[in-house]
Amino acid sequence: MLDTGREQLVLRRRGGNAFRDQVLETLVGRRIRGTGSRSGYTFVLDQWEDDDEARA
Amino acid sequence: MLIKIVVTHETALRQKYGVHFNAVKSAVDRLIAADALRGVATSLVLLDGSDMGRWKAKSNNPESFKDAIDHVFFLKGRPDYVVILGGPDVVPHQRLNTPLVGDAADEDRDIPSDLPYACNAPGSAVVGSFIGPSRVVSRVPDAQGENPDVSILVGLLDAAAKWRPKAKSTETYFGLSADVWEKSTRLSLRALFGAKAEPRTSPLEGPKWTSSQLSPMWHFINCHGAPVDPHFYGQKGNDYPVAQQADTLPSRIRNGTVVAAECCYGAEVYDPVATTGPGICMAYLVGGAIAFMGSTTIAYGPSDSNASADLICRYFIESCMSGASTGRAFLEARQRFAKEASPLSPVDLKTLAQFILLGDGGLRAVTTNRRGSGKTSLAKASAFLTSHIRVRGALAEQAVLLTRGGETASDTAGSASKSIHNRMADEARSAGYAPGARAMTFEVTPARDVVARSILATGRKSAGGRKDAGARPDITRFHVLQATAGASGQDGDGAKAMTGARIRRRAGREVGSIPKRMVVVGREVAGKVVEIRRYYAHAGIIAQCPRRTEDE
Repeated sequence: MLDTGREQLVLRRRGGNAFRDQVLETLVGRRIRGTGSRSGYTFVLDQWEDDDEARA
Repeated sequence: MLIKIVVTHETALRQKYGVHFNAVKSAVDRLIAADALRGVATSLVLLDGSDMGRWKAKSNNPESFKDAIDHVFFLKGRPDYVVILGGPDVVPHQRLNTPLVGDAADEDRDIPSDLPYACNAPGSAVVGSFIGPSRVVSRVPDAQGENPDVSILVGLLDAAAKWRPKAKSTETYFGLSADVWEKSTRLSLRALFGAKAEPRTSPLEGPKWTSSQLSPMWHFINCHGAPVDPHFYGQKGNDYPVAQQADTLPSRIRNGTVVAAECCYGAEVYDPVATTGPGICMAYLVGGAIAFMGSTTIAYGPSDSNASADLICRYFIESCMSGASTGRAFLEARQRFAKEASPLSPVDLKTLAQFILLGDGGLRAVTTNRRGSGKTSLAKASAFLTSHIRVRGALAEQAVLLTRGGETASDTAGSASKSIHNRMADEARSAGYAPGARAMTFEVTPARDVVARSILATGRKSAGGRKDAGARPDITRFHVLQATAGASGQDGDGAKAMTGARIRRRAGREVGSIPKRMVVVGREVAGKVVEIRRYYAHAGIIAQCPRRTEDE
C-alpha cells in the first residue's frame, strides 16, 4: 500500500498483478516520487523514482 | 407486442461522440427494427429531452436519473424491458450507501448500482429501500474515457439486433474457479449442470484459454478481481496467477455467451486510461456475449458452500437456461435471492445492490416453448402474451411481497457488547488474525407487513435447497467484526502525481496486494448468538469457513 502522508492507497503497477507484484515488493519501505492514475482507493503507478536511492 | 424502452442521456452521448452520435442513433434504429420483427415494440427515450419537463435528467445529478427513469417507466405503461444505453458516464449508477458501516466497513465507500432503477421505490441511498425489485433493467455500456470508440457501442447494439436465440439449452459450460474456492464453485456448477460438473481451477489452468474451451454458452466464474483491472485471478496459497485476461476473449468466445461472474469489480465499466485496457466485462460483450452479470464492487462468497454471490449468480444462469430473457432472469435472480436470504445481513444487502446486468436484457439465450400451441400465428401470439403476462404478474406480486414482508439489517450499527466482541475476536484469533477493537451490531428491521412476511417465509428454501417451510428461527440481530484494518478508500478519480510517498507492507502481505483481512459475522436469535461465520477477505473476495452453531 501507498502511504502519501494524507491517506493510504492500494498500490498497483500498470500491467502488474493486482495481488502479488514482485517489482513493487522491492519498493517496500522506500520513499518514491512517481506518477500514475488514481481510481477510488487504487493508485496505478506508471513510473517512479526512488528518493531514498537518489539521496544515497 | 412486448414493450422495450432504451433510455439514455443525449447530451452526454453527443459530448462523448460528437458527430458520431448519429451512428449511435442509427444503430438504435436498427435495433428497433429488429425488435419489431421479434414482437417487441422498442422506443428510444432521451432522459434529457424537452418532453421530460420537470423530470429531465441532469448531468452531475444522479438522483435526477432515477426520477427520470421512474417517470418514463410509468409514462410508457410499465414496459417489459428497460435498457440503459451507455456506461456510467452517460447514465450514472445510483450510488448506494454500503451496508457495512463503521468498524464493519470494507474498502467500498459506496456501491455503484442499477438496482434502484429496477424498483418502484423512490430514490434513496439506502439499499434496504430496494429489496423488492419489479422491473427488468439492464445496461448496454459504451467505451469510457477520453476519445471513446463509438464502434464499441454501435457494435453492441448491432449484435443485439442480429441475435437469434438457440433452439435449446445445452448443459455445456465454462466453469472457472480460484483453486481455493473449488468446492464452492463445484456446488454451483452441479446445481446448474448436473452431478458430474467440475470447475476448471486457477492455478493450474488459464489464462490462455482456447476457443474450444471458451465455446460453451454458459460461463460461470468464481475468481478474484480487482478495481480497474482487465484480469481475473486464481489463488492457491500465496500464488495469485492470472486466470482470465480481457485481451484474449473477444476473438475466442462465441456469440450468445452468457456470463455470471462472482469476481470483485467484475462488472466495473471503467476508464481504461488507468490500466492496460478495458475490463473483462467489456471484452465479453465486444466478443459477442449477450449478457454479463457481475459486481461493481467487492463481492462475497464462501469457500466450501454457497451463499451471497454464489447464489445470485447461480439463480441468474438457471433462469436463463430455462428460456427467460436475460433481463427477466436477472430480475428473478434478485427476487429469489432477496427472498431466500431474508432477513438480509449487511453482506447480503451488499450482494443484492452490487450485481448488475450488462447487455440488452430483452434478449434470451435459448428459445422457450411459451410461444404456445395454437394453430394460427395469432393464436400462438395470444398464447405467448397470455403466458408472458402471467409470468410478469407473478414477478410484480413477488416484488410487493418483498417490499412489504422482506427484512433487512438496519443501515446503522452500534458497538456490540463486550462478550459478543470477545467471542468473535476469539474466532478471528483462532484463525491467526488480529481482531478489530469493535464489533458492530446491526438490528434487523422488522417487516412492514407481517402477513407478507409470512407468505414469503412459506416455502422458503435454504441455500442447499431444503425447504424451510417458514420454520427458520427469527434472526433479530447481526454482529460484524473486522479482523484486520482495511485501506482508507476515498472518492474521486483521475490522474495524480505524488511526491515522496512511502511504500508500506500491509500486515506481512505483499505490497501490491489488495488488503487481506477477515470478517466474522454472528447471527443472533432472541438474545443468543446462534451462529458465527468466519469470512476471509482477500481482494474483497471472502472465503467462508464452515459454520459453527452454538449458544452463547
